[in-house]
Amino acid sequence: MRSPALSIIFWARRNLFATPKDIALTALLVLLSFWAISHVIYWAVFVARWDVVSDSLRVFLVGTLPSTEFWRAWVALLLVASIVGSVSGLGFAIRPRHMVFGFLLLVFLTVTFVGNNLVALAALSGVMASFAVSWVLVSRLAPSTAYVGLFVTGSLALIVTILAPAGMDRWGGLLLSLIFTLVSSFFILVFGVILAFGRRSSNLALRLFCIMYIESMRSLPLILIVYWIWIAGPLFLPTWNVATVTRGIAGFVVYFSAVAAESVRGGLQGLPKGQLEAARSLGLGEFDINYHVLLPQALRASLPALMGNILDVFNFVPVVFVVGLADFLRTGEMVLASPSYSNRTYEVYAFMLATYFVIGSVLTIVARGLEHHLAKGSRRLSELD
Amino acid sequence: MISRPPHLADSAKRSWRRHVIQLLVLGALAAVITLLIRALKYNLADQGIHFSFDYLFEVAGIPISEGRTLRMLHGWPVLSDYLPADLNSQALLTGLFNTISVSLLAIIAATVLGVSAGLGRFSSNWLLRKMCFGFVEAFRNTPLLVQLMFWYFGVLLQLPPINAAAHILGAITISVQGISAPGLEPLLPAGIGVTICLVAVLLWLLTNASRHVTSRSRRILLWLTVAFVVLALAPAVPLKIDYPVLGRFQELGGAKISPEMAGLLLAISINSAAYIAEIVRGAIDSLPIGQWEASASLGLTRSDTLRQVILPQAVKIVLPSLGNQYISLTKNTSLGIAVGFPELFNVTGTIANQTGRSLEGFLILMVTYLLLGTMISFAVNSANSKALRSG
Amino acid sequence: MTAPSNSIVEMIDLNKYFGTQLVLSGINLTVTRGEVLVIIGGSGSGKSTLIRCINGLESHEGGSLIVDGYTMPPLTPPSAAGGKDLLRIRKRVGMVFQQFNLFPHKTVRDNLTLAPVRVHKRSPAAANEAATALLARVGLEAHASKFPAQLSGGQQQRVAIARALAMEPELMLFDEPTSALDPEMVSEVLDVMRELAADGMTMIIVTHEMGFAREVADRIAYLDKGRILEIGTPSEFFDAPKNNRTRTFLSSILKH
Repeated sequence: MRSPALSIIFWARRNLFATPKDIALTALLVLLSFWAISHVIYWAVFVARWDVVSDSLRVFLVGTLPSTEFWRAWVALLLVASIVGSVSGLGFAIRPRHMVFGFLLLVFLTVTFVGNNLVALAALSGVMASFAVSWVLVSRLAPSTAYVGLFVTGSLALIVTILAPAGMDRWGGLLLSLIFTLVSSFFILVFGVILAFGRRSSNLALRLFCIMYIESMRSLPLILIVYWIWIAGPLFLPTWNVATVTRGIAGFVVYFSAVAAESVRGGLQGLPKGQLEAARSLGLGEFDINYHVLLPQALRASLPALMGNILDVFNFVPVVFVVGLADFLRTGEMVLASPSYSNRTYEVYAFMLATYFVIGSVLTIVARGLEHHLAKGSRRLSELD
Repeated sequence: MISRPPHLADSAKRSWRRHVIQLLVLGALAAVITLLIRALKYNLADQGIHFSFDYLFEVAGIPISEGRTLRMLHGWPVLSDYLPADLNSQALLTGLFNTISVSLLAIIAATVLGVSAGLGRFSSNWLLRKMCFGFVEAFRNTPLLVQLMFWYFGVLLQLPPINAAAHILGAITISVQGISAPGLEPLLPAGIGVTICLVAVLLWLLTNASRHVTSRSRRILLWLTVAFVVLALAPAVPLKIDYPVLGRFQELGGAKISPEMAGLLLAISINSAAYIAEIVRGAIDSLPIGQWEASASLGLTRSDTLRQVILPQAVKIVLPSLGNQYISLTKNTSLGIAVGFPELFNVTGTIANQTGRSLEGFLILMVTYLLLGTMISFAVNSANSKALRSG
Repeated sequence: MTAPSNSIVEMIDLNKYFGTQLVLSGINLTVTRGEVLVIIGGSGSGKSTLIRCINGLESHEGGSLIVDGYTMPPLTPPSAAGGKDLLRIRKRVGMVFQQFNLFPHKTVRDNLTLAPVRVHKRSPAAANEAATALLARVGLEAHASKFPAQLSGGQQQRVAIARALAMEPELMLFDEPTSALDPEMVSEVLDVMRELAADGMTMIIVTHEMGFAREVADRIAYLDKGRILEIGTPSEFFDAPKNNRTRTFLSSILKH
C-alpha cells in the first residue's frame, strides 16, 4: 500500500501539472480564482452592510402578509418542511451526522436571523422538528410511495386551506414562491401524465389535440401564457372571481404540463418493447396496461427529467410579476426601491441568488435520492444507523 | 369449434367501443370550444368590445426606445428607425425586429460559450474541468429572471456616466448609457441592401435544406447569392465609418447597444450557454471511451481526436437538443419586459393597454412565436439531416 | 535514446497503483523483436493493465519501461497524446481492442487512412493505396466503402487489425481480441493473427484461447495479482508448470 499523501502528489502532477501548457493554465486559473474569491470575501465581510437583509427579512419571506396572519405562514412552512422531509425519507436513511448537521443549521439560522425573538425561535425549531420527524418516520416505517404521495397531496391541500383566509392576493415573498411551485407541480405532474398518455392514444381526436397542445406550448413563452390567462380569464368567465394567484397557477399548469408530458414521453420511449408485448399477451386491456404496467415504469424512467421540470417551475415563478404578484424576487426589488436601502443592490442580490441556489441544490439532491429509491426494487431501506 | 382466446373474442366489441369513445371525445371537444367562443362573444359584446384587426392601421403614438421597423421607400420595404407617428403594425414590427436581433446574437454567443464550457469539462486540467462544472451549476440552478435583474441593475446600471466612461481600444465606449462602437453606415438606406441580402441568404438556405437539389446547382446558387449580396452592397462602398460623437448629454451616431439590450443579451446568452454546455457534455460522455483509446493508441493528438473522431459523432447527438435550447432562448427574450427592453411581447402589451385589443394582440403574438419556433426547428432539422447524411 | 537493441520492450521493476491499490508489482519483462508473447491470467490479475502501459493508455509509477529504445515517461495523463517520446512510442506500437473501437462515422477505408494521413503525414493517395493492400491482406477489400455497423463482429475486428497495421508498427498489442466475438467468428480473426506472427511481427497478446497460444506463442506468461508468476515456452508452460497456482489456473480453464 502506498501512503495516501504520495498518491495525492502523483494525482496533482497528472491532473494539474502535466505539460508546460497545463502548468501555465493552472497557475492562471489559481491566480484568477484567488483574486476573485478574496475580493468577494473581503466585500462580504467588510464592505457589505447586511442589515438590509435582517431588517427586511419579513418582506423577503412573506411579502406583504399582515403580522396577524403570520401563524398561518408558520403552519404552512411546517407542512412544507414535512413534505420535503417525507420525500427525503424515501431516498435517504437518516444518520447521526444528519442530526448534527440539522442542529448546527438551526443554531446558525437562529443566530443570523432570529436574534432574540422567542416566538420566531420556537416556530423555527418547530419547522426543523417537523422536517426531522417526517424524515425519520418515512425512512423507518418505509411506507409505499403511494402513501407518501397521498400525504403530500393532503398536506398541500391543507396548506392552501390554511393560507387562503389570509387573502390569497396578500401572499408574497419566499412563501409565495414555494407554495406556488408546490401546488403548480402537483397539477403539472397529473396533467403531464394525462397528456403524455393521450398523445399515444389510439383515439385520433385525442391524439391530435394532445400533439397540437404540446407542440404549441413548445414555441410559446411562459410569460405570454401567464399574462394572457390573467387577462383573458374574465373574458371567458366574468362571473367567476378568481384570485390572481390561482390564475397564475393555471397559467403555469397550462404551460408546464406540456413540458412534463414531453419528459414522460421520453421515459415511455425508453421502455423495452417487451413490456408492452408481455402485457398484451396476458390479455390486459389498454387502460390496465397504461395504468399498471407502463405508468409506474415510465415515471421511474422520466423522474430525473420531471425533477428538472419542477426546478424550472421554481426558477420561473418570478415571472408572475407581470400579473402583479409579489414573489421572492419582487420583494427584493421592493426592498431596493425604498430610499434607505437603494444602494444595497449587491447585498440584496447576493442574498437572493444564494437562497435560490441553496433551494435549487436541495431540490436536486432530494430528486437524486428519490430516483435512487425508485430504482430499487424494494421500498425498505436497509441501511439504518 | 376452436374457442378463441378470451381477449380476441372481445376485440370486435372493443373496436366498436373505441369508435364510440372517439366520437364522444370529438363531440366533447367541439362542445367545449363552441361554448368558449360563445361565452367570449357574449362577454365581448357585453363590454362593448369588437374583435377586429383594424387597430393595426391606426397611429401608434407610443415611444419605443430602440429598434427598426419596415417602411416603404421608393416602393421598397426599408429598415428604418421607428417614429411614434408610425402605425401600430409598424410598432409591432419594431418589437419583432428587437426580438429577432437579440435572439440571433444570443444564439451565436450562447453556442460559442456553451460549446467551449462543455469541451472544457474534458480538459486534462482538473481546475478547468471543475470550473466549467461550477459555471454550469451556478447558472442552471438560479432563475433566469434573477440573473437578468442582476446583470441589468447590478452591473449595467452601475457603469460610469457618459462623461466618465471607460474606453476600450480607443474606439469602444462603455457607460451607463450602453456600449457604443463605430458603426458602418452604407450609403444606401440600410433597408434595401439588407433586405436583398436577407432574401438571397434565405433562398440559399432553403435550397440547401432540400434534398432534391443537386450539389452542382447548389453551388451555382451559392455563387449567385454571393454575387447578389456583393452587388447589393456595392453602391454602399466605400462604407462610411460613423464614429460616436459625444454630444452634450449623450452620444450621437455609431452603433450602440442599450443597457437594456446588453442586459438581456448577457443574461440569456450566459444562461443558455450553461444549458448548452451540459448538452455537449452529455453527448461527449455518451460516446464509448474506446473511441478515445483507439485514437490515442493510433497516435492522434488530442485536438485531432476531438476534431476527427469525437466531435463529428457528438454533433449528431447534440443537434436536436440544441434546437430546443435555441427555441427556449428565443422565448426567453420575452423577459425583456422586466428591464424595459421593447421586444415583441412588451410592445404588444403596451399597444394592448392603449387600444384594449388584448385578444387580437394575443393571437398575433401566438402566431408570430409559433412561426419563429417553427423556423428554428426547420433550420436545426435540416442541419441535423445534413449531419446524418454525411455519415 | 539507446542504440536499437534486439529487445523491443523492456520492463524493469514496473509498478502501478490505482489510487493506493497496487495493481502491477515489480514486473520484469523483456520482449525481443519478432517474438510472440501470450499473457494469460484470471480477471483482476492486471494483464490488460500491463499491455496498456506499453502504449501509454495506463501510466506507471516506479520502475522503467522502454519501448523500441524510447523511455516511456511516467505519469503520462492516460489517453492524452502529450509528450514527444510518448508520441514516438505510439507511432511504433499498434493496439487491437476487445471492443474493436472502430470509428462508426467513417467508412472502413477512412478508418484506415485517418491516422497515417494525420500522424505520419502521408499523402491521401498513398494512404489509400496502402489501405487497399492491407484490406486485401485481411480479406476485406470488398468492404472498403462500408461503415462498421454494416459488418459482422469478426469483420470489424479484422478491420481493426488492419487499421493498426496501417501505421506500420514495430509491435502489435492485442487486448483479448476475440473475447467479444461469437464463437464462429473467432477463427477468422485468429487466422489473421497467425499469419501476422508467421510474417515476423512482434506481438504481445492477452487472450484465453489456449489452443492458439500453444500453437503460435514463443513464450507464455501467467499473471496473478499483478505479478508474473511463471513465464516459459509453451511446452514448458503447459506440460510442466512450475508454480502451483499456474497449475490450478490451467486446470480450471482447460477443463472444458
